[in-house]
Amino acid sequence: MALSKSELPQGTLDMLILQVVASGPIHGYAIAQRIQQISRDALQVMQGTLYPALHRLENRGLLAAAWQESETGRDAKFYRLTPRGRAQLETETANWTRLSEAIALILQSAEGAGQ
Amino acid sequence: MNWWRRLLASDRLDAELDRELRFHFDRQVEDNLRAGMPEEEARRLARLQFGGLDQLKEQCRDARGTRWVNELAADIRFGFRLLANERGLTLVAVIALALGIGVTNTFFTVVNAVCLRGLPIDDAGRVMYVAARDARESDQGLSFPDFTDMREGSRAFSGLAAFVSAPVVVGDEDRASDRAPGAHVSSNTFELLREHPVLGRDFSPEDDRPGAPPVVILGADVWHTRYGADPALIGRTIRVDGRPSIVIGVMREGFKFPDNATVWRPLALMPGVLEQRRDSRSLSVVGRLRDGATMLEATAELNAIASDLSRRFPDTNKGVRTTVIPINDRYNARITDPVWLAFMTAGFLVLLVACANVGNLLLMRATQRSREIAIRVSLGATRLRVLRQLLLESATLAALGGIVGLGLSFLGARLLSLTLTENAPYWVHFTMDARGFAALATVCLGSVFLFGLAPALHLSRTDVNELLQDGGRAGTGGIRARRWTAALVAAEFALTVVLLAAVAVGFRNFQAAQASDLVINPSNLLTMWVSLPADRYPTPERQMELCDGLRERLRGTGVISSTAFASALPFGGAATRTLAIDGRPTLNGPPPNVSTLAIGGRYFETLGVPVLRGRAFNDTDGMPGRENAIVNERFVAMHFPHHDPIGRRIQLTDPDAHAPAPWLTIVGVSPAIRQRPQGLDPDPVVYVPLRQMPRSTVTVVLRHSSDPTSVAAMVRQELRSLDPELPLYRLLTMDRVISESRMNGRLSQALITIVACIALALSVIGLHAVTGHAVAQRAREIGIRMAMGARPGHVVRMVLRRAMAQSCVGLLAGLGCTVLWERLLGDPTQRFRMTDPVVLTMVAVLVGVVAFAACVWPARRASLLDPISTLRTE
Repeated sequence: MALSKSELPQGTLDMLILQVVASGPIHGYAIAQRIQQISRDALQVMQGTLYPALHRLENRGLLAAAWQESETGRDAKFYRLTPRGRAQLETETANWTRLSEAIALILQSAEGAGQ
Repeated sequence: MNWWRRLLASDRLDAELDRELRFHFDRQVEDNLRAGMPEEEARRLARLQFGGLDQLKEQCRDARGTRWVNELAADIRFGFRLLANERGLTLVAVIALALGIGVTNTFFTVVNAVCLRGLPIDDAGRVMYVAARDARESDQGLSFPDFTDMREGSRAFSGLAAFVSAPVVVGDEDRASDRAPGAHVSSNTFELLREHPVLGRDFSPEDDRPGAPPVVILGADVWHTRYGADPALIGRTIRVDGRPSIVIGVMREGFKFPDNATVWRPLALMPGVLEQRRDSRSLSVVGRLRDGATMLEATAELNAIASDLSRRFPDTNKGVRTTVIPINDRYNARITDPVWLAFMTAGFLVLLVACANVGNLLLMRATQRSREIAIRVSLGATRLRVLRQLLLESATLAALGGIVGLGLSFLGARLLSLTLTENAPYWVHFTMDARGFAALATVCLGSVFLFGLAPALHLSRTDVNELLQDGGRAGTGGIRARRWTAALVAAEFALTVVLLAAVAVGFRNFQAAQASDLVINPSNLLTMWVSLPADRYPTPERQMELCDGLRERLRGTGVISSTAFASALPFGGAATRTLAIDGRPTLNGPPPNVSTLAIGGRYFETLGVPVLRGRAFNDTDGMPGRENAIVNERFVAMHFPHHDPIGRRIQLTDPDAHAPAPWLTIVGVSPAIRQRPQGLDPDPVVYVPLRQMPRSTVTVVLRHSSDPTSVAAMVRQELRSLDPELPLYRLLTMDRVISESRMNGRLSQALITIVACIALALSVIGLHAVTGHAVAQRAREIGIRMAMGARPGHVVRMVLRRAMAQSCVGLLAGLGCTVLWERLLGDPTQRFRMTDPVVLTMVAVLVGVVAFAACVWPARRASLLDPISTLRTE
């Protein structure tokens, strides 16, 4: 399932990017691959959404970028998490968890009531 | 990379973006190849997956957050290019705006200097002016005993100081004396004002004690002009008002507190101040509030002291309380005075006319730009973006106009400085300061909205489809635009009418005043002033002795045919007294006021004015038992309209004096020579002999038969031989005196005439441009009419009819506004009001003729249109 802009909210994509970058410096193509891999092909991020988001995060100071040599020998732009980015990731993860738990509770109780 | 660096390094960022996306693309292709696709297929798939590359790059660039700066820069560049292309329109618009903004700024500079800026005192907001208000609600100064009590009892002020302005005579052994404006000040005055002498030392409390050796501090002016900026002057002795005084300090350039003073002496040295009675309220008092104290606290505290004084000294202080106001409130002119309001309003009117003009020009150009706007809109520009761009163009015009206008206002302020500031207080300078620049910026910005908003709104609302179908000629939009331009032209004319009415009525009043008042014969009359210091001329006899001696000597010179002395010159104001007439019961209400003048020598003979009834004064008039008076015709008309005033007795009371005034017998009637410069009719004047009103200065008027310069030198000589310490000052011919008394009136007249002419010129240009544009718009219609048989005369009449209709509407609106102006801001003391029928007729005729001239040329051009060529071109 490939997601266009309208399906995956911008905030959520930002959070996913931050999470992927958290484990170490990584370039844009690899971020796209990783999201696809880890979600077991459920999420596929298009370049049209990925790169604007990456640049936005970089401009907000949540990511820092540097040009380094990649695994293929060519130079690529590698992104890594800044301390602010780490703090933002924690906040957003906590929010998301709280939100999804609350929704899950409501859905469960609705099922229970329905039965 | 922060925002600023992102803005400036956009090229490098673009290159990086390119590399990044290319890297991603190549990796995608590699993966596709590894998955087994052929080369072509791999590339094609990768390209599909990538999507629109340019759009992607746009979005990444947007994410930088610097897009609006680039848009703004592009808009500004485009605006400049557009203005450069339409040089004619730009020039006219910039000139119109420059005139409007220039006039407004000049007027504001004046108002700022006179009403807003205030004295150049450090932290002037904490310096207060203290005055006494008596039971009759009239404001007075403080008396010395009251001041001392306040100073000792006050905690809210860190210091209180008293001062009195008094001109002094500065003399040395070897030179003629000079008269200089001066002041007596408390020893802590300069300290309170946070000023310090640049040379020498300030006053100390020891200098301000009775019996202390006399000291004096000089101002920079006197130090430079009289003593050549000699630093060794400190410690030397000079004679001030005849008394040897040691110079202890020199103040900085530009400091002339309180009243253009250049010589300061301690207050204790003022004759009579220490013995001043408690009800002799002549001291001005200022004080600086202590840190943390408020004006209200200070007022309450001083009022408590005042009520205590009124308890202890009921004879002199009953019902007297104190008022405390910021010092600038006391010395600044009130901006809410009708004079200043009218002044500022006139400036705004010109600005409005200029903005209406430029608005019109932009609206006319709008019809030509609608096509371009339609294309922009169809390419995706939002209405906001279009509006922003149009407003930016207007802002550019306003900025250019503002810069030129600033230059014009510098010129204007310079001109006004030269002519107005001769006797002005020392803190009035017609210069731009921070407040002036802020006002200028506001005016420019405001004018953008005044003239730019309507055309921009109108233009940004263009319907794309309608426009592109119509071949670029707006259909219904054209009618709306035409109504706007017509309204603007009418508004311009209305405003111009108001200004012209003000000019015309001012002119009429001026002429009337000039014609009626010149009763005296001013040719070959020389005037001058002499001071008579109280310590050497204490009694009237001594003063008369000097005057008689001078008269004798002057007669002996042979070129002076007659000499007169007086307490004031004609047109030079006079003292006011309240009048009581013997044998007439006092009416309820305040008693009438008259002007009074002390005269000596052959006053009326010297002025060339005959005494109409009775006789002039002789040498014995004024002595005890012979208190006589001469009245002028206006006095007779007001108080003795049906009787002969000769022999009747009157009493003139000085509201500040204590002893009852003597009863005077009228012995003569003179023609009505005016003392007060303004006002409808000359004032009623009562003349008394000089010995009856002893003075500290006297003016000498003499009729001579030689040239003024040599006569002046002669008079100086004679006076020096009588008393070398008496200076002669303010030497002027009578012609000059009269013209100077009229100077203010003439000046404001000239100002408003210039302003009205500017407004008229702008209106004419506006009407001309609008009519010409309308003709161009209607060229096709006119061509058709002519092709169908209309004669050139018809065409001309048609064009003229519409144009004149616009101006007539404007004229009528203007007449209405004039009535409104007169009601709100009119001056009731003038003979002619702005609603005077003659004035309005003159203005209406002038405007009608000018409007006709403005549109007859385009009308004629319309009639010369060739129908074939107009029908052929689109």
